[in-house]
Amino acid sequence: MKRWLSGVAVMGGATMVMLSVAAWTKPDKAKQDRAAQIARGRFLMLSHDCGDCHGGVVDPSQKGWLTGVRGPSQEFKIGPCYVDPAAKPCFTTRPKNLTPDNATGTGRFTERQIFNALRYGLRPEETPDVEITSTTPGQGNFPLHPHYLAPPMPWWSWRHMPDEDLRAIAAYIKGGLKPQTNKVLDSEGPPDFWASEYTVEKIGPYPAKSYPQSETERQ
Amino acid sequence: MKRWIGGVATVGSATLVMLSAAAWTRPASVRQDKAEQIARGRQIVIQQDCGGCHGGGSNPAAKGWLAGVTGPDMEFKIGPCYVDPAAKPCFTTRPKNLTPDNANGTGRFTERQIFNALRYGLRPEETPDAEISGTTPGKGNFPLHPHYLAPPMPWMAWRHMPDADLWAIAAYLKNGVKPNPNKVADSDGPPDFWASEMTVDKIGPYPALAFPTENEKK
Repeated sequence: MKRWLSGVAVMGGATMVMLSVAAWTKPDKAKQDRAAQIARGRFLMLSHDCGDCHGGVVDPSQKGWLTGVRGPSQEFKIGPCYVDPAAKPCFTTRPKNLTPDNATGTGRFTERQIFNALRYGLRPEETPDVEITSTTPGQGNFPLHPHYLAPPMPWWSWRHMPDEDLRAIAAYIKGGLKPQTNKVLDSEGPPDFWASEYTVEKIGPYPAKSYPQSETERQ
Repeated sequence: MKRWIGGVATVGSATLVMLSAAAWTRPASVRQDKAEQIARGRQIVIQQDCGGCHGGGSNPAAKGWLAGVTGPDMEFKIGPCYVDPAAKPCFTTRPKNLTPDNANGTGRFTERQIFNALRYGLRPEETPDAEISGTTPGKGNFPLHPHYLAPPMPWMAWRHMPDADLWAIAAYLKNGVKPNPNKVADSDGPPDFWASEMTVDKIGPYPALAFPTENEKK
């Protein structure tokens, strides 16, 4: 503040008033930006149907909003057993509690860890709170043996949202939701944490290929 | 054009040149608007995971992109059989072919019918090509006995997108995707076409309640 004051000492009184107004409103502006970010994140979670799997309700006012699985009707059976219940392997996967509860929800994760889950599919439990520098396992700091979120979490589609949208979702999860205690068991999965299912051949590249693709699209 | 010319007869030649330039460039800019709308629709279709159920995942280059179910591993079992395979009722539902094929896809639907499916959950097969004037069955021209899209199609979430985004999706499906003739059998369902599952009590109101609700904090 001192540096500021000496810098503006020669200015007229009106400018001084303007400057102090600017200094005053700055914290409000940050608060306002954060509120807008949270509102955007809420809209995105509503319009991406997050609640349908993560608690079974799509209305933010209803009990269970984003609190995760509460019974077998909300679990998934992944593997050949999806078609033939007796077939193996059969992995039970469970949408997590997304509310910022410290013990059972996202309370222990940073917004960047949530961003990394949505952009790269990396489980926040085992992914450090750092910026990921590539999308290829073993390149940059992308884990050589990544632990991916269990299917059917469609991060391979969510990843195509712009950065600011994914950050807005993280902001809403951490800043707009009340913590709710609901312990969801960890999902089952193969030893490679689904890595063989999440190759570029299977889920396509990021970013997506440009429009139009000759086999499937037209202009 | 005649009316135009009559109106501007007294205007100077510079203005006339400008006006004709405007008339000339208009078709190009309309084309550009449509191209932008289709590009926006593609981006939304990719990031909403439409291909996760309707084929192709998030990769528009994939074989079967948006062409619908091609086998039992892409079907859904809806009802108590989801947990206990022997329990009844058990409805098999099938994500449709969204490519604009006339016989088996969206070729016979208008962009407005696709919009109405996304905003109101109304099956385009049985919903006229009209603007829907309410969200409550029996009010306005909203059908008293609506035929809803079968679960798990999450139209109750998609409906919260702004009008422009839903129109963009419809524009991409009709104009940006090549027709694929994949035939998908119609979904099973209860006689009420899921109406008892799609009440405001169950899926919440449209538009959504304002922030913050009881589960949320400011």
